[in-house]
Amino acid sequence: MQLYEALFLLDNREVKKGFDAARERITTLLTKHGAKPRVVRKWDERKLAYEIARQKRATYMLAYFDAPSDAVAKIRHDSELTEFILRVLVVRADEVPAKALTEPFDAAIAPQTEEAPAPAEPAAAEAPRNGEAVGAGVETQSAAGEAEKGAKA
Amino acid sequence: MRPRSSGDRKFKKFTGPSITRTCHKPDERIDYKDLPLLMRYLSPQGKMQSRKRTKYCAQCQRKFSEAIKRARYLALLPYTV
Repeated sequence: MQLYEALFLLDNREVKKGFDAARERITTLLTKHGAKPRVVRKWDERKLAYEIARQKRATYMLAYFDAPSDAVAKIRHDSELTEFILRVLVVRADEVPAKALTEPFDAAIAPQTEEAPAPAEPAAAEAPRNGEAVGAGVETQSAAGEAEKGAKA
Repeated sequence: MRPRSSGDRKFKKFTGPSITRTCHKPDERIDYKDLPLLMRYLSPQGKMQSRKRTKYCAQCQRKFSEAIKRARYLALLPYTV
């Protein structure tokens, strides 16, 4: 098993219908081919440098997952057949960088999104949010924060 | 025949990367998501700069080139402006 990093470019029309559903579809796509996702979270929503499928804006979804090497080709192929995934780039990664769990790469240039906090994550909702922190990384962060509180108590 | 001296050259010879630049770190990866870094070495037309201008060593220039191409594929950077 090798750790991979994937950046999915998602069609905004599908993402607007439900962000959690879109994230779930990415997670399902990964697990279907034997990958074990560590992090699946939104990286950014931004204007594209050039139009893809007549779309000028798109959502970037960042994923880190462990997978056998033959699964990567299947994930790429499946992504090509999935209409709401415009592009996907899968590269090898040595580790999950801490920055990937917390915020978009550059919070200053990242536009704020309209998505609401997920109701199923009360601990994550209590934590200070930058408007788009929805993902497994945030869950692990909030869990770590609770652990710290417990240790202090 | 008189050998050419360096003064005959029209342009200064490219002597390799600057020794003051600490670009070569084996563990360091130039991330394709690091747009502020990548854009620093792009021309106004969106073309990547040569080693002569970036002052990168060969290994780092290759990493940089790979990162630019990945960013272009994901529409983070334009192919042409």
